[in-house]
Amino acid sequence: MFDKILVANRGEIAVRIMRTCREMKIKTVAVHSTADADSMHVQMADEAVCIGPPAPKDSYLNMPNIISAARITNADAIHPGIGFLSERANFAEACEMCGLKFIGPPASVMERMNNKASARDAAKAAGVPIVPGTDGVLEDDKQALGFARKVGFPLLIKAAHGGGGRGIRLVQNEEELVRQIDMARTEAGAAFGSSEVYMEKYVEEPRHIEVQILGDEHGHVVHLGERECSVQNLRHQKLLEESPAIQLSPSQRSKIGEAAVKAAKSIGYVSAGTIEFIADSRGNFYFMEMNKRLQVEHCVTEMVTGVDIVKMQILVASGEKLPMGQRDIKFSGHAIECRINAEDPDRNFSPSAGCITHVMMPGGYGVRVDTHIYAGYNVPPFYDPLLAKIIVWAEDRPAAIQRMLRCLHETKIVGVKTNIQFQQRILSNAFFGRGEITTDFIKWRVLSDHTV
Amino acid sequence: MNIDELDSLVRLVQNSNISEVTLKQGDKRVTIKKSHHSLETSVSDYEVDEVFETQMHDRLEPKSSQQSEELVEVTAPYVGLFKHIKPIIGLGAKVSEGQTLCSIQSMDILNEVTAGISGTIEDLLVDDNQPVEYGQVLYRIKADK
Repeated sequence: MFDKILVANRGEIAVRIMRTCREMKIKTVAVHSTADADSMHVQMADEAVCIGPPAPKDSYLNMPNIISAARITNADAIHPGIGFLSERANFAEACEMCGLKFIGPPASVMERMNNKASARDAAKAAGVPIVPGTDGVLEDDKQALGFARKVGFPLLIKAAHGGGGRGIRLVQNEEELVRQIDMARTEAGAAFGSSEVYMEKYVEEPRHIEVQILGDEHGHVVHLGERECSVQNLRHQKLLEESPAIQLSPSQRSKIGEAAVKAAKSIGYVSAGTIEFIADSRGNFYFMEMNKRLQVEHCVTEMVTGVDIVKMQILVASGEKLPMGQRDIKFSGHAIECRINAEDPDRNFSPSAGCITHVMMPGGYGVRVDTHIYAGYNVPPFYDPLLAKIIVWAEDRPAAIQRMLRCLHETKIVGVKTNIQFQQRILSNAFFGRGEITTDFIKWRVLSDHTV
Repeated sequence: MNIDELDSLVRLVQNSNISEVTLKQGDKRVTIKKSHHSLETSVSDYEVDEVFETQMHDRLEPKSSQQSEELVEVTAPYVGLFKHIKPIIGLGAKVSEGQTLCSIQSMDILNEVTAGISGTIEDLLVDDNQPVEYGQVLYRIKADK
């Protein structure tokens, strides 16, 4: 087992990782920018090393300084946390070259799954459903018609070199297909310098459902169930997550779990990872992409399974076998997580930095708070606006919603603007209560609801 | 005397039967006494406090360009091991702007640290092979008039 782990991250996730390290009697090293000298993770660690000025590229993304910090403190492993260097294959490689264990998947696996096309191929090869599409660029109208008749409408025409939601056209029926392809080509040519397009089945009423998996170096892979993450803001950032996903039937649930394990096994995945799926209103699901790291919302899975995911990451990184098989994993109750962000809902959710003068976090039965803030803490303007994660567990979903509403009522953060009230609006929404949540739920059901 | 030496001295007293140690170095005197009220060791003597406080201050606020009048700080731009160059640039050395003062070994690469100003080395705050973090003060240079 490791003697000392350097946590190459900041904020609540660095604090969360260090908590598990302490329980495992592993010493910790914090790294921080000059803007984070007073941050909670620095205070919590056994040692701390300043690695650079505030800008992430000079500090939390500064590989030489981070690896150097691990060396001068004699750490034997690096936990990259979430974001920053967590999915950089070259960082994982650099760690291994310097004799430091990278707590995450091997660099080669990461590289393969970082490329969306090769990740899709890997999923397809493993027999995991992917959104039906024309393999490659659309040749002519005849091919388009053939594809449309095979998979059915509605369909999306997408620019091969497009991105950011631009160059996409929705086609509802055969009559408008040819005309829409012509328009899409002209548009793509003008916008992206290439008139190449491809077609894909349009997933109606899409939901974002992801499966947590764990793998070890001995070829064992288990899944810890799914998370429903459809509640996202207009920039597609998740705001509220829950487990289990209410709209899945027991058979769909076991199917999606098995598909995720199959995909992870086929690529030799090690450590904690997440397979993201897009699901339609009938429960059909398709592979989207894989996150090769810990995720912010891992806590809801921990609450319903009782498995400490960070502990599992550390165990398997040290070469140990997963201490449980699929049958040992028992699911119980319902968990919800609300992300409390320093942002101003009245100003298009723009981040709000400043000094937190007063903090009151919720407590009581079935409540967990992961945070790095305290009274007197200065929220620096350079990083993620996440202040805290409030996670509740209850025997079922309605009870979990009530418990979360109670927690949000207790929570007081003074000094910066937060989205606490906005989270209350989500939880009180009738569509949310019925579990009718799609990825555009915020846009259509919350922001357009002026009754509140 | 730097903070690490002070630290090891405190540990020495803590782990021994000695109740008091006084060390003299030039015009600075450090006394470390074992506290009678608790098992903890306390550092007394105000000359010590002064040294201790400035050094703690440097540690806690490595970025602060807190400089007394004409002293200019040279801070570590990298994380790594402080390495003297040959010949060693030590106390009292005359340096000119842009001149290499030392290097910091980071991932087996020696990165040179240069003087930002011409002057005389007034303070050298680290030892050869000592680990340094970003922004840690290495030298203080008294600028030429």
